[in-house]
Amino acid sequence: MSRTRQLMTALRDALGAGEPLPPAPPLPSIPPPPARVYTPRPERSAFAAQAARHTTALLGIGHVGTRYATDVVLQFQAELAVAHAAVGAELPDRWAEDNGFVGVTTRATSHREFLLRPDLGRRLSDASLAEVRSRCTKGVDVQLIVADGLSAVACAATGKQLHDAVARACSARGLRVGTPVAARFARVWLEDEIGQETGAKVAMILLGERPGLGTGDGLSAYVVHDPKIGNTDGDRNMISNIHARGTPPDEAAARLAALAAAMIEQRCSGVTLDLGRLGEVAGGRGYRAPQVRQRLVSE
Amino acid sequence: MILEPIPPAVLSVRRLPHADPALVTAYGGDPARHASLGLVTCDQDDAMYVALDEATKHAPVDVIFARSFYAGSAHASGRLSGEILGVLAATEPEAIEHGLGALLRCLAHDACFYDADGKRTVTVFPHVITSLGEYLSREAGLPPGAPMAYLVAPPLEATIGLDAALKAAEVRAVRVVPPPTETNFACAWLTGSLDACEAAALAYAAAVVDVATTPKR
Repeated sequence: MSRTRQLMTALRDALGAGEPLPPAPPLPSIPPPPARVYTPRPERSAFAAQAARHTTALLGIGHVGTRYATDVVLQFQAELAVAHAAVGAELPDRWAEDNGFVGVTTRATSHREFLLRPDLGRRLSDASLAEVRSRCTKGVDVQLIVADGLSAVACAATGKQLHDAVARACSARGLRVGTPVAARFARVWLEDEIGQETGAKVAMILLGERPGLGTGDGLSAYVVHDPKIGNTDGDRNMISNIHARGTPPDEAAARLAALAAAMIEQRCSGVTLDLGRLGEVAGGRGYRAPQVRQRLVSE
Repeated sequence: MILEPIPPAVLSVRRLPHADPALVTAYGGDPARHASLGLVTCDQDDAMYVALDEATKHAPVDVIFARSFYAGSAHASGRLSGEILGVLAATEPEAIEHGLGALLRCLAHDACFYDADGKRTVTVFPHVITSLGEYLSREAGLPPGAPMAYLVAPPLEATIGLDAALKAAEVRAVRVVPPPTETNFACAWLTGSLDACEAAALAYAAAVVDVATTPKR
């Protein structure tokens, strides 16, 4: 949203003007880049060719003289643009309510402020705190929070799907799941405050992760036992790259439920949690199929 | 409604993919670099100046011509004249296309006048440009990327508003145009840190609203 229009809306509220403004015209949507199947370039080094098949990193991309090939540069720029668009996106206004969540927001008042002030994104606004206290079930086993984080695109696309899958997987393990909450302008540590208010044994925040090249749609999940303000990252376990080309949401849900159950059993989380007792379900070191890089630009 | 945005109306948008060099020279362009033109008229001149500047941030285009019409859009020479003609120029028609896209997006979603008295008989333009493009930075003599508050209101309102804006934050005046401008308004460009520019624009808008509601005191 335009900065000046935000300022004038705030001033208007401060002056106590009554009626609400007519809705702003919708912004044009960002067209997705054309997805093409990658045609591998003739590779002279067998090692580079094999290595490139096992990662989506820019490996074995060849060179033209001392430079990258034009299509590689274009691909890089297209992937960077996807990441920029994801960071700049915001959740639609009534997304939480429309998807059956309790909608809360943090102390960040605008998207720009949210990006510049991580500290404000870690605490609930006063109105949202009251909302959580009045509407959320207390004393549950697992409190799930869906949030926009640094990629509202990812949250809007698969946030609800991942939430439902995790809730099902937790219930199947006999864990009581709390009232679903969706947070706007939220950072990871917000789970501490929401978990503390609801008195949950384990808090789990599912949020859009900082986009990498070409992955604007990735979600991360951060799980903490005994959530309370003041917990550090050493107290958390996390799974990243939850998207179709990384860990699929359904597989991630099974792992997250196993993590939550283990935390409740061992009464700890983070570096002190014994992951060795979880077995394969928590993401063992088994075989991982080669990933294929999505081609975003034509030659 | 007080401080309701008044969306600018874009009255005409035309492209000249390969303009005659004589025309380009007459409008202040360089025929060697400016083959392709994009022409827009709009009923809010100051929103257009901001939008033209926005276009220079998105595409390799130059603003070769931008002039307000006398007495404003209420006294326009024709249905499509509005208050201003802006001309973007570039080497390639493709650049003009991207420039016009950014310009129209800015007019639709960002730059606009605001209602200051609830009846649209007094309007105010308290715009904050977070980062100047090539066009307005040249006009203002500031480095590209600097923040600037672009403040416009009717004569007396603007005078009271400018005083309030200058006292509200650590800003300095880059250009002050006392009334009347071509459209019979008064205009001021202030710069400072972004926060200071925002505070100045807020103080300006509040002062104009105050004058509009209490004209005699």
